This record gives sequence, C-alpha cells and structure tokens, in this order.
Amino acid sequence: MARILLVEDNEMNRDMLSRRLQRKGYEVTMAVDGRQGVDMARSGGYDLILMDMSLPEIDGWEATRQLRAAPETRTVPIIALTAHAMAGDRDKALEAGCNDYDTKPIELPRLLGKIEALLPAKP
Amino acid sequence: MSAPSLRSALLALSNRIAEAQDEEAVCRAVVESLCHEAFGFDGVGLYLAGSTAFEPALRASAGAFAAGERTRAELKLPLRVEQSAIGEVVVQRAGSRGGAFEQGDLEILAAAANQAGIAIGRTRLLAADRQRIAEQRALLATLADLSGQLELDRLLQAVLERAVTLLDVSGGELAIVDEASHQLVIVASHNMGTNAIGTRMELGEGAMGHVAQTHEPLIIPHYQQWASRSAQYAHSAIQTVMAAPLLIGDRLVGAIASVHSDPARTFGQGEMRQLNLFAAQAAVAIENARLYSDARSRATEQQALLDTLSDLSGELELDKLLRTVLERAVTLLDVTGGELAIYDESTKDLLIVASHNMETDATGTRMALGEGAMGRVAETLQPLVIPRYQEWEGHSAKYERSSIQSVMAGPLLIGNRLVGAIASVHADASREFGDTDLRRLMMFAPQAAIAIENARLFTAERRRAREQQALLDTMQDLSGELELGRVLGRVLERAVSLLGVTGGELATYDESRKDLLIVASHNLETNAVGVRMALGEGAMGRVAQTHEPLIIPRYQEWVGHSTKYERGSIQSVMAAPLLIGTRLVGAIASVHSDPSRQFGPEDLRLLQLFAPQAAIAIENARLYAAAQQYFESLMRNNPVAIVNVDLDGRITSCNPAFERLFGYRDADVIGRNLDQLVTTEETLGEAQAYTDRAMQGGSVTGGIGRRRRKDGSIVDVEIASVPITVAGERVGMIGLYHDISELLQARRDAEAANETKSRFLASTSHELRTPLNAILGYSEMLVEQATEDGHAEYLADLGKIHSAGQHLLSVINDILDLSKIEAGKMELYLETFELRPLVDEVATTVRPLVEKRGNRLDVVAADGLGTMHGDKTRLRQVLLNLLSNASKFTEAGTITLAVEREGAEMLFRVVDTGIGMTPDQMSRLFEAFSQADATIASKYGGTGLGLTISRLFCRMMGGDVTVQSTPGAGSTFTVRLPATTRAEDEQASWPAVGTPRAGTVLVVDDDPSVRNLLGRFLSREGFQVETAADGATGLRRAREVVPDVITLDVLMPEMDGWAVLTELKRDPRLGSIPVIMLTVVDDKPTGFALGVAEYLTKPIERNRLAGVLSKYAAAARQVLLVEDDAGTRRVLRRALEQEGWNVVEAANGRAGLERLAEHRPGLVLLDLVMPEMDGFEFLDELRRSGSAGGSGVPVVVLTGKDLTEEDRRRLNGGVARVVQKRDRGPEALLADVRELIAARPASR
Repeated sequence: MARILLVEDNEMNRDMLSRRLQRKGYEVTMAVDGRQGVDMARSGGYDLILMDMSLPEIDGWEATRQLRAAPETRTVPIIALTAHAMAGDRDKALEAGCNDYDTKPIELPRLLGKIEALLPAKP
Repeated sequence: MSAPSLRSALLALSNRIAEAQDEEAVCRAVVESLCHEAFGFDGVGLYLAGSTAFEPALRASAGAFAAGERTRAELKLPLRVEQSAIGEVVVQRAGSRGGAFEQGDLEILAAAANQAGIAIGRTRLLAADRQRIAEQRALLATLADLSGQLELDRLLQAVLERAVTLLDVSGGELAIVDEASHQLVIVASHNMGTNAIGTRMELGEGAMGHVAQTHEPLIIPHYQQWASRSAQYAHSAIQTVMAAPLLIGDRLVGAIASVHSDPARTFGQGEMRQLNLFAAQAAVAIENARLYSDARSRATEQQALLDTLSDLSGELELDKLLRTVLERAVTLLDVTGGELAIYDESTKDLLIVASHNMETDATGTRMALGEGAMGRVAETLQPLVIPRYQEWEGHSAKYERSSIQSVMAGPLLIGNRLVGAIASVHADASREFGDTDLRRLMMFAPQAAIAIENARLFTAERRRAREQQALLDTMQDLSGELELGRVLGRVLERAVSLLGVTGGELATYDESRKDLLIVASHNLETNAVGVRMALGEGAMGRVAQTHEPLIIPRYQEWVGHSTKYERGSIQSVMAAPLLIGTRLVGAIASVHSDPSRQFGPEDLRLLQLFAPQAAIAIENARLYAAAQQYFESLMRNNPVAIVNVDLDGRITSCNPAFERLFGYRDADVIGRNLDQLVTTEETLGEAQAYTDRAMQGGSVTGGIGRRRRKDGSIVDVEIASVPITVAGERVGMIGLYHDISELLQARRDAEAANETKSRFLASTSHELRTPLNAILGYSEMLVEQATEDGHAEYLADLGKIHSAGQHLLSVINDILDLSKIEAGKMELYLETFELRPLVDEVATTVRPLVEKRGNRLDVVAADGLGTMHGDKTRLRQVLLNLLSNASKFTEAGTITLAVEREGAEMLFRVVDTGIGMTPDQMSRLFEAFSQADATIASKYGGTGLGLTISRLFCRMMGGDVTVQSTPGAGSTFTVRLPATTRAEDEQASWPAVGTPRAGTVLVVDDDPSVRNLLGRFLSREGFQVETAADGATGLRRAREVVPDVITLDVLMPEMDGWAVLTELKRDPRLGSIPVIMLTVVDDKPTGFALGVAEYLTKPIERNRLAGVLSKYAAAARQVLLVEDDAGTRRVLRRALEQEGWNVVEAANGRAGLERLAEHRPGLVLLDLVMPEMDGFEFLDELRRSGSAGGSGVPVVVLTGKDLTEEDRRRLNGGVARVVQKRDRGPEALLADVRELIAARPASR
C-alpha cells in the first residue's frame, strides 16, 4: 500500500482529497503547512508527496527545495498542486524540484495517473 | 699642243667675255681664260684706267703673274674702246718654257684684247644708261612723293632735301618768289650751317637771285672768289655752287641752290641736267601746293565747322554742350555775343539755356513763339538779320537800352522739327551781318541742332538710367530690410530723394477697417503718423480710392485738401496708390513747399515706377512681420520648452516654457552651454552625445532623457532636436523639451494598477478555485459513494451540482484567460510535439460529448503529420473549444476534425452539419461575451468567451481562426497556425526563404532594427539568419550554430565588436569563419589587423552586403572531395550538390592540397588510400602548413580501410569524423554524408 503525504492548508480540500485517495486505496497522511510537511516528510516512510504550493509558514516551492536538499527525501517523488493557472507556475514548480505538476480543481483520474506513474514499481 | 684644244680654249675665252655682265667680270674673264694651259702662259695681268683716274691700275691677274718680273718674257697689248686706249693686257712666260713668244701668241693676245675692249666698252655704256635710268627714277620718286605733299612748308623742305640727295651735294637752299614784293624769300635750308630761312633777297643777289633774274641755271666753281656771292656765306665752307631757277613756263616761282663744301667735288653738265630736270618738277609741285593752300584757306570756314561738329558730337553733357555751341557760333561768326534757346514741346515756348558775352544773362528766361528775334525765327523757321536792332519793331524789352546794334538769328531745326533758336549780336556799330555770315549761320545751325538733340536724348537716357539705378538701389535697400517700421521709413525717404521733393507721407491700407493709416512722415510741418484717413479723404485717400495717381498743382486751392495742412506751406502735391496688382496696400504722397517747383509728367512717371516696388517691399515686410509675430507667439505660448543653441551648443534664446521647465530666467541662460546647464554629472555625456548626433543629423532627432532643473531636481523629458540650416550651412539647433514626468508617472501608475489587477485575478482565481475544488471533489466523491451504496435517487442531483461546478470553473478559467491575454500577461509555452498523438487525445476527450447528441466524429489526418513547434496546451484548448461548440449546435450529424500540413502552416478544420449561422451572426462571432444569438446561451450554454479566446490564442501563435457557414447547412471553423511559432518579442532566427540555400549568417548587432532588417532581407536572399543582440550572445550563438559568415557591429554595450572578434579568432572552431564588420566606425586598419574578411560601413548597402556574404558563404559551402576513385567521386558529387553544396574534386592528396590553396572549403571529405599522396600525408601536410589555407577546415575521413591503432593515432586530432565505406552501399554512404553535413555546424 503506497503511503502518500498530502501537504495542504485548506481544510476542506485536505479532507476531500485525502478521503478520495483513501477510497482509492492509498494510505494518506496529512500536513497543514510547509514546515510541518517538511518535518513529516523527513521523518520518513512516504512513497510520494502531494504538495500544495500556497502554504503558510514556508510555501510549497521552498518546502520542495528543502526536501530536495535533504538526503533522506532527495528521491521521494513530489507532485505540485496549485490553484494558480499562470504560465510559469509549472516551470517554477519543476525548477524547485517537483517531479510533476497538477492544477486544482483536481481531476482525480488525471492525478491518479500522475501518482501511479511516479510511484516505484510494486514488488 | 693640239689645234683642237687651242680652238676650244679660244672659244671658251670668247664665251666667258661675252657672258660677263660688268667691267669687273670682263677683267676676270680675260685673265682667267688666258691662263688656260692650252695657251702656255705662266701669268696674265690686266691694267685698266678708270672713269675717275687716268693712270691704269692692275685690275685683274691670273696664274703666276708678277709685275716687273725680269726672269720672264712679257708680251703686252693695249685695250681700246672706240680707238682710245683704256689699259693693257700683259702675259708672262717663264724662262724655263723657252721664254720667247711667237706669232701665234700675239694673235691669241690680240684677239683677247680686242674682245675685252669691246666688252668693257659695252659694260661702260650700259652703266651710263643705268645711271640715267636711276636719275629718272629718283625724279619720278621725288615727284610722286611731292605730289602727295600739299602742306607748302613741308613740301618746300622735302623738295630741297630731295635735291641735295639727288645731286649728292653738301647742302642747299630753296627760295620762292613773294609776288607782292618781287623778292625771293628763303623758305627752306638744308645742311647749310647757317639757317637762312626767312631771309629775303633781291633779284640778282647771290646765286639764287642771279638765276632768278636770268632764268638760267648757273655753276659757280669757286664760290668764295665769285663777285656776287652772298655776304652771309662770305667765309663759309662753300666751295662750289650750282643754282637753278624754278619756272613754270616763263613764270618764276623761286630758285634752288646746291653747294659742295668739299673742294675735290665739282659740278658738271650731268649735274646741271639733273638740277634742271628737278627744278621744273619742283616748281610745279610748289605751285600746286600754293594753289592748294589758297583753296584750303577758303575751306578754313568749313574746317572750323567740321571741328565744331566733331567737337560737339562728342559733347553730351547738355548744359556744357549748349554753352560750347554758342561759343563756337560766336567765334565762327566773329560777333560780340549770342544767346541760345531750346524749344520746350510741353509748354510750346522757348527757354533760353545759354548766353555768351551779353550784358544781361537771360538764361532761364522763357520766350513765347514770335517773341524777340529768336521767338520770331522759331515761329517762321527762317533765319533773320536785324541790321538795327534797337529800331526793330519786335525787339525784346530786356535789351531795350542795351548796346546791341545788329542781330542775326536762326532757328535750330532737324528736318522741319524745331529744336531751338540761336541769336548772334554785334555790339559794334561798324560791323554788319552779310551774306557770308548768313551762309555760315545756315551751315552751323543744323549741325548744332543735331548735336543738341543728341545730347538731349542722351541726357534723357541717362536720367532714365539714373532712375533705374535709384529704383534698383531702393529695391535692394528695401529687400534687405524686413522690419516693417524701418521699411516704411526707408520707402518714404527714398521716394522723397528720388523725386527731389520737400517731403512726403506714407499710409498703409487697413483691410479690416477699410481706411488708411498714416505710418510714415518725412520733413513735413505736421507729423501725422497714426492719423487715419477714410478712402477719398485728402490726396492719399483720393488715390487709394481711384487707384490712379494724382497731381495737385495748387494744393491750397484744391477742393479735397486736408484740413490739417490748411495753413501749411504745402504748394503742390503728387500722390500715388501703392498697389500689388489691383490690391491696395497703401498710398504715398510727395509735396513741394517751393512754389516755383511743379510736378510734371516726368515726376509722375518716376513715382509710378517706384510705387509698385515700394508696395511689394511693404507687403513683404508685413508678411514677414506677421510670420515673425506668428513665430514669436508660437514660441512664447508653446507649452513645450524650446531652446535655440548655436554650433558650440551655447543657448541663444529660449521660450517661457523652457524657463518654467528648468527654472532659469531667459537672461540667466543666454550664452550658457545647454548640455552643461541642464544635466547632472551622470547624464552630461549622454546629453553631449545626443547633441552631437542632433547637430550632425539631417532632420529631427528624438529621444527620452533625464535633465536637471535649476533647483537640482530631476525632470524626465522627451527631447526633439531640429538642426537649423541657413543657406546650406548648419548654424545651430532647436531643442524641444516636453516634460513627461507626469506621463511617466501615469505609466508607472498604470503599470502598478495592472499589476494589482493581475494579482487580484490570480488571487481571486485561487480563492474561487479552492472552494470549487471542494464542491467538485465532494460531489464526485458522493456520486461514487451513492453508486456504491445503491442510492441511485441522489445521482441526478449530485450530477447537477457537479455540472454547475464545472460550468462555473470554465467561466472562471475563460475570464482569467481573457484578462491575462488582454493584460499581455498570457505567455506561450512553446515546445515541439508530435501532432498525431495530440489529435487523437483531443478526439478521445471530445468523442463522448459529440456522441451524446447523436453525432459522429470523423478524424481526417494523414499518417506522418510530423511535429509542430507551438503551445500544445493552447492548441488543445482551441480544438476542444471548436469541437465542443460544433457538437452543441449539431444534432444527429457529423463533426469532422481534419488536420493537414500546408507549406509552413498547419491547418485544423472543424466541420459540422449543424444549424449554421447567418452572416450577421458570424460578424459578431468572435466578440467577447457575445454569442451568435442572445437566446443561445440559455439554450446551449457556454460562456461566450470560448471563440474569442481561441482566436486570441491562435493569433498569439502567429495564426488565426476563420469561419465559413451556411444557415441550416453547417459551419466550418479553420485554424491556421505556423508549423513553427516564434517567440513574440524577438525573432532570433530567420529561416531562408525559397529553395536556394545560400548559407547561414550570424548577425551580431545591438540595434534591433538592424537585426530585423538583415533578418528579413537576408532570409529572402536565401540565407538562414541567426541574430544576437550582444557580444556574449553572439559568441554563444556562434558556438551553437557555427555559421558560414558572421556580421559584427563594433559599438555594442558590454562587449564590443573588437572583443567579440578577438574571442572568435581565438576559438579554433570559429576562428576560420569569415567575419564581416558592419559598423559606423570606420577603422579598417584595426579590423584587418584583427583578421576581418570585409569591412563595410553603415548605412548598409544591402545588395553589396548580400554579395559579400554570398561570396564567403559560398566558399564555406564548398566541399573538397579528395578521392581517387572516379565512380565514388561522381556518386558523392551528385548527392552533395543536391544538398546545396559546391563540390571541388581532387584525385589525390597533392591535388587536394592544391585545391585547398586556391579555395578554402567548408568541409573536406578525404579518402585515405590514394596514389601519389595518401590521406595520412595530406593530413600531416595540412597540420604542418598551419594557417596556410586549410586550418580549421573540418575533415571527414571516408575510408574502406580497416584502421589500425597506429592509423587512429595518426588521424587523432586531425579529423572530425571517420566514416567506414566498407560493407555499405552507396545509398547508405550518402545517407551518412547527408547526416554529417546536416550536423556539420555542430561538428565543425
């Protein structure tokens, strides 16, 4: 069972997405801001991180950079989620070290495709 | 001695003597002929007595003749002329010859002497004849000479001199008879020591008196002993005298004497004969001259007249001429005095113009026709003699008690036209006028008339010329003056001086008030400047109204006279309107305050000549003043700061706006350097460079800059500079400053506002999407949950929630897109992608939607659509939009998505068989928030923004969306997009247009206009053009594309052209690329020193540049094919040429090196195994020669050889690539080469 860390500050979105992912069979852990997200990710045990970009404390880009700098989280796949549809957001996210990028509102099948593509092949 | 030779010698002797022309020649002929060896004489001599001395002298000799030589035998024979001996011939024979003479010798000598005598006689006769002929000739010459000489005194002297010369005497005298006193008067003397001219002699006195008395010539051999000799010459050197009378028939005219002072000379009969002959001729000549002299004295009168006329005709100064004519007449007529009057045609009377030696000088007096003597003759046109003037009934009152006794007057006429009259008077009662006087007067008068008339015409001409000059001066004067006030003053002054009047006034016409305003007054008692006059009022008002000039002879009596001059001194007035064509400009008046002066037609004519010039000058000045005023007002009231600077950048003037903008007062800045005045340290250099550019520029130079105010504050200005050129010479510049601080602030504000809006949109978008995210997510989740739990009754409502959320999302997305596009914030994400997968993906996405309404979706796309460079997401969005639209408006029909490549464009067509649109609907189709029909939104849904956004996206990518539709039949939307979309802001790369690929050019220039210009132009010329805006980019692009040619600007920020050039040359891969400098900096030496190929200065001559580039690019696109197998060469050549390469072939390494030296190719294809010089040697040579032609040329080795380790070592570093020929067909090889060439820039 893949373990996903969902870093999202909006409670409703956090609740909705976590429940939908859990329904699809993922084990979802939640963090409410960037700092908590980084701390939890570094404590280990996650196969993939879904990272909202507009976060309090430290934002998603900074959090991603920190995770990429830390040896224990350097290779964990990160998918950036943002409500900004501005061009450049995508580049900014990839530049910060995200593996992929998706926009809100979430289209669940599309997101699931991206998650599956990034998860390590199951044994 | 043979007889024939003797005979021939004798014959020769006879012939020579006969041929001799004179005595001398005869003598020589005799002696030389006798010396002939046939005669056997040793010496011959000839003695001859001359005409002057009797004693014979040796005249000629020949051979070894020695007079008195005793060792020789001599034979002598006399020479005779008509029996008298005149000399002798002597022959000598030396003793050695036997000495003795024989009879034969005597006969020979006798014959010679006889012939010589005859010959000498003949020549002497001939000489005498010649002398006579010479005398005759001399006489003839004398006569011819003398006959031409009619001046008696000079004739007499000439006659005497001739005689002295003719007779070859020492001197002579000539006397003529004074008929009155019957004495001789010596009139000519030549070389006599004593000049006796004027001496009178009685007949019989002296030699000449003697011959005059006897009428016979006389020779006095010993003059000093002669009893009747003249006392005057008693002790003179005169030895002998010969004198002759000068007679015409029996009448004595005079006498001539000739003397010898040399005692050796005597007079003979020959001389006497000559003198007689001469005397006769001289007498005739002298008589002729005397007759002529008489005739001439009769002609003296005529001569005097001639003199008068020739004199007078040269005299054109009328006053002087008139006086001179009168003086001449008085002299000629030998009278006491006279008067001359000329006829005035305008007044029909006579005006006395000259008076000579009269008691009363009446010059200036006018006389009516018939009045006085001159008036009478002027009336009758006949001369008149009044013997007793004081008794004459018509005598003039002014001479009543004068001394005038008699008067002779005559009219001066040219033909029948009266010019004037002349009168001459005798104050001497004993003198009377006779016929001779009348005749003289009649001869004199017409000539005088003509002279006077000529002078009058001339004077009139000259006056006209003077007037023209004065007018010309006036015009020049006035044309140089543009200030209206001064022009008016000048015009009036000129008029007053031109007309010689007391003073005048000038008025200009006021078009708006329809009246005259007096603007200038000169030398009048009342200065009326500023006074207005109605048309018709006063003299000027009158002429302004009538447009005709006017003379008012008695101003004070004139009905229209102005009240302001009522008691003035003005006597007469002449006024004229100032007109340009028929347009009234003003009026001018001139006045005489001298009652004796009157305006005449001449004055009027002059004023009329003057008036138009003055009118034009005034009008010009008015126009100029108006223009000046206009300009002043423009400067003064212009909100733009305007400053004038001279060539040195110093301020010459500025306007109030300038003062306001910079805070300086006009007076503070004049003479200051503009750039230093309004700049800071940082901006001074920029401002000076700008000023320099503007000064040199041809027209307006513009820019934006920051300038400093007086208080130190900074102001943003837009600057425009206009160079000022006067008469082809740059004199300075006008600078215009427009304060754009507010404008810039407004722009910054607008930008900030826009930024705020963008931020607002972004955050709103975020704020809206987040709850939407939840709505959509939860509704989807609930659908799943309800399905799982079997609550089917909720599904429809949950679906509605989800659908509404989706709609809201698409509205938000569309509004966001539109706002971003309109704010210029929408950016394209350009990438290269395969088209087919995209088309399939779009079809898959939209298919459910299409099929929901019973439609069929057809996708028409050929295999191998290839790739496209553009924004994939936006393209997908556009296609989905069009397809979903199509499905909305079509039911149970077909929707087709057709994709095809058309040239450099991709075409996407969405065709439906739906309801279609009317033209009116189509016209509003792409407008934001407007659907084809307002009711459509409610029926079909949609935001109405989709098409608007689609079109904007397509346009951003360089394409468009168009529509065709038939109502009820369906619509076709066509999307056209370039297969390669370029970034919007700068096109860095320009693909070659058309098939001939000329090569790749890298343009390095910081000026975007140059890059664009060259990109556009050179790509049309078949070049692939890459551009770079600065040196660093240029170097990077050069390394990336390795162009065939580089053009390089010198002046670039950061890294200038020289630095780029140095860097290029340092890079082994780039060093060999020809660099063409393209710059305004003309520094060819530096360029060539740094290794540039060509140096072109801006402005760019495009065709020249294209030519130069082609040359270098063609060289770069040359392949040198070094291969020994002709078949392989042929195959490769064909393939390479198809790729646009020029191929040069060489059959071995050596030939390859030769070709390389001729032309540096872009690439070498090298076989290794070749005869003569193989590939290895070729490469070694190439490396050794270093820069000699081949350095840097990439070499590709084509070989069938299995390369050993040693081979590879030898090739190492020298080649770009090795291609194995082995086991590969020609097609495969070609494909390899093609690939190599395609990749050439990168592998170069």
